[in-house]
Amino acid sequence: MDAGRLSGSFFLLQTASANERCMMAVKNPSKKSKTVVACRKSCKAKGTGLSHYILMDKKAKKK
Amino acid sequence: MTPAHPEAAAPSRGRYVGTGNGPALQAIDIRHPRYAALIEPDTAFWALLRRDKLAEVALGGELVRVYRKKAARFAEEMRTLRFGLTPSAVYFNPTERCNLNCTYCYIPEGMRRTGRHMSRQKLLSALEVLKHYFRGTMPKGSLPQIVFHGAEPLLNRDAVFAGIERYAQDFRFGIQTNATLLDDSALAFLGQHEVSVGISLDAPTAAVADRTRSNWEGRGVHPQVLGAIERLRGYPAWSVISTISSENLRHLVPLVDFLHAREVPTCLMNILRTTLPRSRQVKPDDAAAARYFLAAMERTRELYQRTGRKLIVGNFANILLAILAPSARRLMCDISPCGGGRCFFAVTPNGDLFPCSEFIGLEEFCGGNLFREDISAVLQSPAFRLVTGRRIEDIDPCRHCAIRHFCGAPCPAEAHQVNGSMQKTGAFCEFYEEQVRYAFRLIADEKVDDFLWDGWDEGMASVLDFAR
Repeated sequence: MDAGRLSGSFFLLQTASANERCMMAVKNPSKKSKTVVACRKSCKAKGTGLSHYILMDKKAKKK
Repeated sequence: MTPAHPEAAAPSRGRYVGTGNGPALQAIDIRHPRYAALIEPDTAFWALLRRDKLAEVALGGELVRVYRKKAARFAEEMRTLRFGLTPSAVYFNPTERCNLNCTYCYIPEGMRRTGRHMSRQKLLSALEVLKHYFRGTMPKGSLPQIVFHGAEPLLNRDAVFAGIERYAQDFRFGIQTNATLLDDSALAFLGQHEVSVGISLDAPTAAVADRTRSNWEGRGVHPQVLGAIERLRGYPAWSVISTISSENLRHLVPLVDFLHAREVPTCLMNILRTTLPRSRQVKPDDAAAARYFLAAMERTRELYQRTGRKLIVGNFANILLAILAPSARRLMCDISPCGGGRCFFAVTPNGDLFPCSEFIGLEEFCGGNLFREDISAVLQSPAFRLVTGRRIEDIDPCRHCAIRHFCGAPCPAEAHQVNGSMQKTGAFCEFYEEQVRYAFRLIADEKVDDFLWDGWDEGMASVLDFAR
């Protein structure tokens, strides 16, 4: 990841998730706006995606 | 720099943004008071830049250096998403018939009125063929998904339930129904067999819903659908699909209120497809659709803030995912090529195979028959390749559009039927443009989590995290 190579205000809380860090960059309105924010996540694309039906991650369970 | 597209590389070192092999960054106005977006369309890379620093940051510096290092990886991710997937799901139409005559249905009227059921034996045989096909293509430990779809699948309930019972260990099953036949016994069976349930509802009141959804005698079915919604409360995996037309456009915010109040966990608010001529009678205006749709999205957030409970609108969540985590997208309409014929396909009651249910009324898109031809060969048939080969780079104005991989120019069936060619757009453009702008504004204002299910990024790797 690039965080280690970037300086200044790029580093944020070590305990925060990447998403939280990215979002925290524009979080506090009392501080000056960040100049640049960019983030991206990745996972294995599974390719299941029916246009007229929402594929649920969780299985339906017995009522 | 490693070019994002090595096959198209010019003898350029790519030293500058915007020329030769340099990053093709495009700035877009997202109508945010502080930020604009910078996008490299081919890799779906984006950054939000303070408007007063746009030129300075976009022309070089740290952000561009970081992007250069990651461009090839991002390009490969998009290539896999667009061209490297194989089917893992099937729309399975167990009957041509429907007890409703909805204005915008993409199944031809004659089929729905007097069509055939698939026999129980045929349905079981079809599932057996699919089981063997997917056994050779799916990763170990993953189950393919079968969604009984329509027409109205519960008109052929005995055959459908027999299939679910026999192949419970081989597929994940879902059923999309108009809910008129979803009685207690059906629901008990579906729950027992862990079947996901999707029902259709377009408006909170019968007066609006019945304009587009009614039976063959012209009578609405709103009360039956409301009854089913009440019975589905607490069911772990259910959803509502609403179709946006000119008839319900102004009622999307009340619809959100209605669905949220009934604890619907997830819905889709799909823009109408104008593939068949009758549906064009209720085509909404593009810009108006965007305006009302975004108001509905705002309403979901207000309700979440007020109650702590989300109503996820799946198609908008998918656009957010397309931006935040392209490979995590669930629905495959808004990527080019779309998922039709490559991520999923459709089976008709006689075993014919189409790239997607949208094509079922268009005989020239039948790629073969499940009982006669090898599925792998059908996927490579000229009919399927017309759809799977539809690339956004071949469509104007999409080839120049910064958000082309957040939109995908849906839908090929609509483009073909309405605009006469696969190399045309579908019926809507601003509807998608405005959704993407809105999504970027939500990112800028740190509101995206309010529109996505809890834990949406669990198990994902962070591949870019830049803020300064």
